[in-house]
Amino acid sequence: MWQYEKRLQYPVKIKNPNPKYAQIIISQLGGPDGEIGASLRYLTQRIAMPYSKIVGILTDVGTEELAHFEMISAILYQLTRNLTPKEIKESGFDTYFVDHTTGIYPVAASGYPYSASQFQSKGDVLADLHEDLAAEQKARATYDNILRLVDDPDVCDAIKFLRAREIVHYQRFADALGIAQENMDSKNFYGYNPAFDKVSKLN
Amino acid sequence: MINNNTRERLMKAYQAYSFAVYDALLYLDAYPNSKEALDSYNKYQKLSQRAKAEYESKFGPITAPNDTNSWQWTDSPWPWHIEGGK
Repeated sequence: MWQYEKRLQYPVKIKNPNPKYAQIIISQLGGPDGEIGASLRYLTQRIAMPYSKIVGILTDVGTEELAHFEMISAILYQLTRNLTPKEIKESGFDTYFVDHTTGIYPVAASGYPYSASQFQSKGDVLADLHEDLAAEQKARATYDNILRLVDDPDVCDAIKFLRAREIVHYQRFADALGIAQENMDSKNFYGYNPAFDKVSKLN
Repeated sequence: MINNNTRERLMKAYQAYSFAVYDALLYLDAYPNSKEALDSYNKYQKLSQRAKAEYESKFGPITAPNDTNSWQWTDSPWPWHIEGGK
């Protein structure tokens, strides 16, 4: 069960609207390495995860990703306020605007709508945790690219916070992998999948 | 087994009271001036908080604790696990 707090995890205060920036940053809402995919990845994976501490990590990171989804939404809202049709056309925001006006809809920067085909819940402890480690690095790299393309300090401040969280999540997933391996057969980590097999197939 | 029955009973009480709180909250979003809904919200909020405290004192935290000497958050079963099992 979840409860909502009426606040952002980190403040977003953008003075100057910029629909071009919105079109780039929206990839972290609904793109291949975006926040909603991240949240769904961890909140689905945790159900089959046999180690309670790792369920805790997946629950907390999956929940935080929803707060990041909200922060990206706030950035997009502030970047697209008070626009004129001329600004919309000249910035290239028109291709999004025609379908969604200035509503928030999860798409990649390319316009491709969010798809669950962009993540996995494998039901295999090692496969899932390695996917999570890679996912955090890919999201970090996307934020790096956003920082290469955006030079508004108000926008960069919030993006830098989100980027730093990807690195922290990567570290916590590395801890999770360590916890899993401590519980597994050190002679052969691939001998069985503790999320499914009741006993080692090696025995 | 008495322990498991108590756990189930206390959890059910908390679920019922907190559901009543949540349902009133949802109604109040649309009808903030409803005295009836507000009274219901306040009544069940109290009962819900009491039920939560009682459950947590016996069976561990439902939400991450405000202040604690030892971290027991991941010791109790997750809600999709069948009571007492895995």
